[in-house]
Amino acid sequence: MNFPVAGVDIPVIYLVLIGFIVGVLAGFYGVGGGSKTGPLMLFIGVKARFVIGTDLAHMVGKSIVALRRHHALGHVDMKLAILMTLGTIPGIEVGANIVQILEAAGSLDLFFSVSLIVILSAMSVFVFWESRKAHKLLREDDIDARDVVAFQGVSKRVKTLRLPPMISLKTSGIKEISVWIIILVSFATGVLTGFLGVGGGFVRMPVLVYVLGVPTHVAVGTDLFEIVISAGYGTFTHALKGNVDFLMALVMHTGAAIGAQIGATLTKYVRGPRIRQVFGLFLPVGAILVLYTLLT
Amino acid sequence: MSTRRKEFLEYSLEILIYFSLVVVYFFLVLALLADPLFSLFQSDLVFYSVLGLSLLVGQGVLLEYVTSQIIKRIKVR
Repeated sequence: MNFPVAGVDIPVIYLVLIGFIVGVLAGFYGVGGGSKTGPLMLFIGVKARFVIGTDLAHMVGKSIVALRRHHALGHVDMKLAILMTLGTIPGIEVGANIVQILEAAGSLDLFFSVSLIVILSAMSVFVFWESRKAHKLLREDDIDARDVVAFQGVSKRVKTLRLPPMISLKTSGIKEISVWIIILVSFATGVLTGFLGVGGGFVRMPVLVYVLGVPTHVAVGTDLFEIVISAGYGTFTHALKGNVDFLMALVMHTGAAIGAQIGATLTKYVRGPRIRQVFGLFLPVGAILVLYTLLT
Repeated sequence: MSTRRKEFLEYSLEILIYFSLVVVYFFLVLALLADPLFSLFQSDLVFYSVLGLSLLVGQGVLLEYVTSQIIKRIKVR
């Protein structure tokens, strides 16, 4: 099928399949799936500027579907999610402007690919290491808990920073945390969203768990709220710059909507460390695809 | 019938209805809006952005709402 906006010919079934796979992953570990869709789209010959914009666009609808399901399961901390949008929106604007500057300089493709490889590889190693350790803790100590985190040093230290105003987050089980920490974290992930054309979830979900100390299931649901806002805003700002092929996004979303429903329901039956372990295993797939595209 | 089996059947039915609606929606958009979307992209980026985003949100929200209404009706019967 021809997509005149992006100027490429791609079989519909391929796009629907990509959508379905990232939809399941998105629903399961609360990420937009951009870390997989981006490399896969680059791989089939879509230009980087359309990869960034279109990827964000298909994420919006899919994340709404998964978010509604997680909300029904009680996995969304609305207070935290709304506060995070304060940092996310300016962050996206900064990221989208970086894209325009690099595109004008003719070095966007290289920067985009190298950044994805570095971030995906680093996150993968860390999350996989931690989740294995946490899983071991659950087994050895025979703890009857839905979630255990083996790396809590940073989140404990973050909670001791007393920069007013301080708030409590009941759904996340956090007694007191500075609003500024939340805004700073969301600004950083917002920049990534705008720059990499991803919902920021593959960075934000681990950050919520390891830096803010949010339980994994709540991190997954809250992250999805954030993705709807950030990807929605990101899509609009990129569409105005002519970087979005909505027809391609709709084709991908056809598979993604079904996948997101299935993935979100699966979280009901899986413990926190296992969710993170699967998450860590899938990240290098994106990095390998980008590396392959870059080398060939 | 056990609760787990009942839950699974309900969920499978929901997915099936949702899937059918998504496919119908997709073909409708493809048949009716493919060319107008490209024309809009060339002439009016603001309208193109608003329409495109609405179509995606519509697919996400509207179809799930319709699905849950259908499920409710089936349960009543």
